[in-house]
Amino acid sequence: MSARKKNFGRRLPPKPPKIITNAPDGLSNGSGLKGVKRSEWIALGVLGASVLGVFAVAEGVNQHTECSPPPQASALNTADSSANCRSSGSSHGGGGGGWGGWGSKGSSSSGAHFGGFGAAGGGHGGGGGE
Amino acid sequence: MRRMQSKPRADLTAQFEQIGFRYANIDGAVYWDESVRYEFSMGEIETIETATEELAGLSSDLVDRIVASEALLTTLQIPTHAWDLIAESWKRRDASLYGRFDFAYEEAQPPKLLEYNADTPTSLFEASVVQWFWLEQLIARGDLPKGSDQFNSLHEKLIARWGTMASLPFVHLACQTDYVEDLSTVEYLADCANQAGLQSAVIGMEDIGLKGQGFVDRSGRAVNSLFKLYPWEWMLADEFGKSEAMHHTRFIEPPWKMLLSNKGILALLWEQEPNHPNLLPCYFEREHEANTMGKRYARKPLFSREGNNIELVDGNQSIVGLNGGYGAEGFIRQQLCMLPNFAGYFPVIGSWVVGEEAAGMSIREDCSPITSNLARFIPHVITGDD
Repeated sequence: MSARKKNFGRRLPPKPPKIITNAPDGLSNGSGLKGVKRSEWIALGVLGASVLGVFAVAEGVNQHTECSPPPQASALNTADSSANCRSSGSSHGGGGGGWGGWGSKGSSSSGAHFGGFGAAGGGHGGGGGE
Repeated sequence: MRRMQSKPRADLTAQFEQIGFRYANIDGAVYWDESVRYEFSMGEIETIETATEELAGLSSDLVDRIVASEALLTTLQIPTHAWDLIAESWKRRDASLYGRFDFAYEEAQPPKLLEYNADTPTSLFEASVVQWFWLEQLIARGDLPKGSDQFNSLHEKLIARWGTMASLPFVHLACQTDYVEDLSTVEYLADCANQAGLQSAVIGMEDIGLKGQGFVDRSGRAVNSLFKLYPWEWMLADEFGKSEAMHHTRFIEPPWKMLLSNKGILALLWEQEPNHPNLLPCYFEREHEANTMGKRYARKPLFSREGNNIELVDGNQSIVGLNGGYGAEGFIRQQLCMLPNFAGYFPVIGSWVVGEEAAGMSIREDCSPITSNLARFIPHVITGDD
């Protein structure tokens, strides 16, 4: 190995990202985003006991089953995990939702035409990340 | 590689709020899980690092091959209207910012490449920042030994990489802003760009407008350089994807990266480097050789995300990922390589590259052998030398 491996432990002085102050809608201190209220965010931070949906090995079919709540949740001694099952169809960031309606935004006073990007993601039930 | 119980910090909410981590839980389910951790030796990390840089190099070689071959572009189902765009970007060697190789890894075995998330990888902020602060705080509190380390120089390397893009004094970063993970990823990357001296603006994909032969934002500012956390295949399918403005915009990730985000490269890499220790035998499904794997393979769409429409076949048993509507462009078959099973949890190694340099690692763990968007992020630590 090259000596570069030693760099793993030599980081620049920690510098928290400034995204906190750049949050949309004028929110600050991680207080939330569009669609995520501050109260929800705080709750999500500690109360999220939940159950993951999984597929069990099965002959030629996929079966939706349940698995036990993550131990972190019980360690935090908070919510009733049995009430927080997530359906197999849900996804991080919410379901599909679609990106229709671009035409409604139309043209701007600058003469630019908007809405030509974003439509293809609507049918895939999640964000564009992977 | 060991999976260990770990004591969660008592003040998680305050910690996350301080660093702006807004999706520790998603849809009411735990995403960030520090009740466990994975421990690695430095030797294991070096093995993963070496494999990562080796595959990054092989991937570049492969782009060279594909760009020069209309047959391969066709095989990968790349739309013809994108061929020139790709070739131009490769000829200029437009800079790539980052990517993530996903490996199946077991102790004493070479990491095996499952896929390369070359276009729109996420889990970056938690890999770069959140798990680093976790490490520092556990060491400070005596819950990890002093000298514990982490495979993680993402933050520094991202800033340095942006710094090499100084010819782009202003960069727009766009995503589907309704998705908190995506928005946080681009906000974090914008911050790294700012720290490198670039100016930036975070916008929604819908906030990109077409004016004449260029793109503009809603304030009328020209979009000359665009980081987009939005898949290339979607870009090309959208109305603006065929516009002349595509040729007048510098994209990050550049158009040539769309070749590497295609799972068809797993077959092409195997063809290029048969028996490479970090690759699995892999063929396009329509090829005769695909049948040589018998009934033990992973079937993957050329375009797919979050494990959608992936099928693991083992004899008469199979596991199928969620239906995300992928698969119309065809499939590959890759020799089945199951993720290691730690008491019902299946961790996948995400090994990051910035440019072509290995830069860090993230681990996502699912209770299915197919890593889906339900997987949880588990922090890791390097504890020993061997």
